[in-house]
Order: sequence, then C-alpha cells, then structure tokens
Amino acid sequence: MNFHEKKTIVTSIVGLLISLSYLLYAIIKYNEGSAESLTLKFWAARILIFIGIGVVAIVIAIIFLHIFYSIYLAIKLKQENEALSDKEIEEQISQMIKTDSIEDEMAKLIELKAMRIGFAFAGIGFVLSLIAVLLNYSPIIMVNILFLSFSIGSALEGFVQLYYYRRGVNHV
Amino acid sequence: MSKGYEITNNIRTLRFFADEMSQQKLAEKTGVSRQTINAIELGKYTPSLDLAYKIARVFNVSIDEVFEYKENEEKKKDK
Repeated sequence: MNFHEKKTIVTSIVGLLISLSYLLYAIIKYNEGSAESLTLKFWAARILIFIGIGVVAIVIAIIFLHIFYSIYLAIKLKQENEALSDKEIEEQISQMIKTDSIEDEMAKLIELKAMRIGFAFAGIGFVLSLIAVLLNYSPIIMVNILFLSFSIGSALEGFVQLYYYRRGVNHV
Repeated sequence: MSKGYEITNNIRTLRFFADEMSQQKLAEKTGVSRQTINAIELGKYTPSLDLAYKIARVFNVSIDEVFEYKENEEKKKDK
C-alpha cells in the first residue's frame, strides 16, 4: 500500500468519524427540542465548530501518519541493511516519502475522478435538502442535510480514490 | 483507450537490462511516484504521451520499444 493510499484512508476515516459524530450530535440535540436548538444561528455555529474540529483532526492525523510511516521505514531499512548510518537512513526516508507523495498525473487523474463522484453525492444531498423544505420540514433539517451530504461526499471521495488506486485508472 | 485494444509495455524487461533498475529509481528519473511506475508496469494505468516519452528516454530507446498498442484477446476472437 503506497503513501497516497495510507493518507487517503486516514483522512477519509477521520472525515467519516467527524461526520458520524456530528450526525449523532445533531440527532440528540434535535430530539431534545430546546428553544436554542431550533434556531438556524445555533446550527450554523455548531457546523462551523465541527468544520474546525475536522480540519484540525485531519492535520493531526496526517502528522501522526508521517511520524509512524517514517518510523516504519526506518525499522525496515535498518533490518534490510544494518550497516546504514542514521544519517543515511534519514536521507533515504526523506527521499522515499518525497517520491511516494508526488502529486503526479495518475494521482491527479484519480483525484479528479473521485471528486466527480464526491460532487455527485453532495449534489444529491442538495436536491434532498430542497425536497425536505418542499415537504415542510424545518430549514434546520435542510442545513443539516446539506452539511452531512458535503462531508460524507468528501469522505466518499477518499474511498473512491482508494478504489482507483487498487483497481487502476484509465483516461477514458 | 479504444474498445478491443490495449496498451502493453516492456518496462519490466527494460529495467532488467538497465542493470535491474528499481521502480523507485525510474520514478525519480521520470518525476512520478513509484506507485505510478508500478501501475503502468501492471497495466493498471496508461501514461500520458509526455510520461511515455520520458520513460523511453531513460532507457534510451524509442517509444515503440517500450509500449505496444495491440488488439486484446476478445477482439481477436471476434474476427
């Protein structure tokens, strides 16, 4: 499994966990039915907080991934060749991570294809949110459907990328 | 890629004759990731013309010696 795949798995899982925890939070808050939770301002603030948490969580997860991946490579290189000095190992790891994480043409093509599917999912969510309004549901439901469809769409994008990395991808 | 046709390559053989050049080395020379070279070798990804030329230049051969555009088995059976 390459570094792109590992990174995609980590960011998608973190994204999905954040989305699911938001969903849980939203269901609990909505069922409580407190006066505060019936205003759009309340939900806008909560969504912004969750977006912030998501960004920070993904950054932290990627930092940890780099650390653990470097440790894994260091152990592997040392096992393969015990004569290597720490300096040489460090250089090799930095070179390997650099080559592994290059955003080349294949990575860009996969990203584009996955993004298309992510956008389609978010688009379906947008239509569903409009239908919810038409069916006389509260605008709060609309905002929540929109947020969840975008965040789940983004996580889905990651899993689609993973699928293309495994199966391969063609220009057509 | 046209239906019934496939692009095959000889990168593995060329690497072997280039002093068993590693995928990592070829990736560094062509400016792509090792995974992309691996995917091309396994036929999971068809490179752009630009990358195809870069690969051919690394081995100092023509592009025809690296890649082959040929009919696949299904197409042959149809004939």
